[in-house]
Amino acid sequence: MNGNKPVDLLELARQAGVAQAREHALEARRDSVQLVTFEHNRDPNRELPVGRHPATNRVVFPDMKRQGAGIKPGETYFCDLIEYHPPAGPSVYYANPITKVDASYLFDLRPEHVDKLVEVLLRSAQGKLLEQARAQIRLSAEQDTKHQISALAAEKEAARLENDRLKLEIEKLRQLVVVGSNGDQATRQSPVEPRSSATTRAISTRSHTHIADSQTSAVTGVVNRPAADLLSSPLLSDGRYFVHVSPNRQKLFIHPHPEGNLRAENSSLSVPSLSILRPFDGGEILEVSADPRVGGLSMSLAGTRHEV
Amino acid sequence: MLFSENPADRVMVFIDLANVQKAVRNKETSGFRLDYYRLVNELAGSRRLIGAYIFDAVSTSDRSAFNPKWRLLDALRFLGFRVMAREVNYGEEGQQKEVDVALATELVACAFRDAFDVAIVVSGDRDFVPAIERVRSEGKRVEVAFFGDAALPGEKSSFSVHLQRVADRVHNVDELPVLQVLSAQLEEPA
Repeated sequence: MNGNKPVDLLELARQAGVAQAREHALEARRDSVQLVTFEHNRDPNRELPVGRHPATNRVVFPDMKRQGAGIKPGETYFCDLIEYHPPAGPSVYYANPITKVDASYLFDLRPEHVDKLVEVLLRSAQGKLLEQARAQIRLSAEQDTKHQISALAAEKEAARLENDRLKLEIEKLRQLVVVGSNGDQATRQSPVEPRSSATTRAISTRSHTHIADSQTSAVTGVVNRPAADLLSSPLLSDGRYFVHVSPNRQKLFIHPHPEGNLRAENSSLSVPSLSILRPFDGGEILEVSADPRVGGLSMSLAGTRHEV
Repeated sequence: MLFSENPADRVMVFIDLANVQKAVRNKETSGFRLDYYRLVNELAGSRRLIGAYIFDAVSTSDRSAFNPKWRLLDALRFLGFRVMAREVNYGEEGQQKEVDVALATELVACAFRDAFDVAIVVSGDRDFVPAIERVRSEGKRVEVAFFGDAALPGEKSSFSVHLQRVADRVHNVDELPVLQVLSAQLEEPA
């Protein structure tokens, strides 16, 4: 040993394994000391109170051969636990009380002790808390998923209904297009949009499906003009008609109506004042377009003249 | 056209009858007559027509059943128009009293009640510009219908260019088939 150098006792102890042994001993003691609450034994043949190890949940009996004899049901102790491995079955613990935890003990605790106690309790109950939290999260997630599934199912059902409705609508429109493309035959068979009474002509909330001529109308036939005020065509089935003209006298619109003021007979419609709208220089042919949704024939009075 | 017609749009038509009659007085020659029912349907197009107003002034001095003005208004009522007739007394006959304000008030009130999506004002009168601007600021569309050609040769068109500037859309009624061709027998104008 060098006499000039001071002796480092801690280093010396470490080298000798004393400190390490002490740390091991403290660690072992920390594990063996637990807070245990004892209850009545559920087994009617046994009178000893029992508790549960807070970390392992194994059974804890009072160590009756040592200081455990004073433990009564309902009491909580900081205990020194000794693990015992029986020949068969799980291990159990025998408890020797260190300090009884009661109201007076709690009142005497200083704040740092309370914090320490809470920390220990939390650490010991960590497994349980985690398990509870996991169960709650799982339950909540399951409920959310169920809600989402039911909402998606409702959306799917609504989409299916909407799809069916649109299919029906497309089918109706297709039929209308077919009727329109059949031209004069279709118009002859059913004068478009017949109206039955005066009230139907009144302003109402009905959907009026007029679309600009440039978008939907197509030339569907021709009308002969054998005389100045006479139009003749198979498109003009016998019956009553209204005839309208634009103020600039460029467009003529003929549509069937039960209360129409002009009557067509033998596929000929007399249109008074037609000669004012378009001078008559002999027989001519006028192109007409029909829109089955509007229900009428539209013709341009400004178009080129086609001689008969 | 910037806007397309939405079939779900609710349309109300506001007709300044005196203005319209002034514009068509040379077009309603013998054999032709303005069909108001056809007019509102042409203007509404594919949209939902939910109401049409007629605004006019009538004289209180002649309430007889043969008064042409009363007969016209009755016929329009029968067709479903809402006729708002302001009364003028003997000294004011031939004048339009309270009519423009009545139309503007109804237009704005309906807009505030959310009674329509699209209002169509059938008039060329510039007096409606503030009301139209107010209605547009409520988020409603306002369209104006007018007769483009002058009523009489040498006369100015009744349509104000200021209306064209504030309207979302302008309909030229001259291009719409709204004049009904009367039958050969003498038909009394409605």
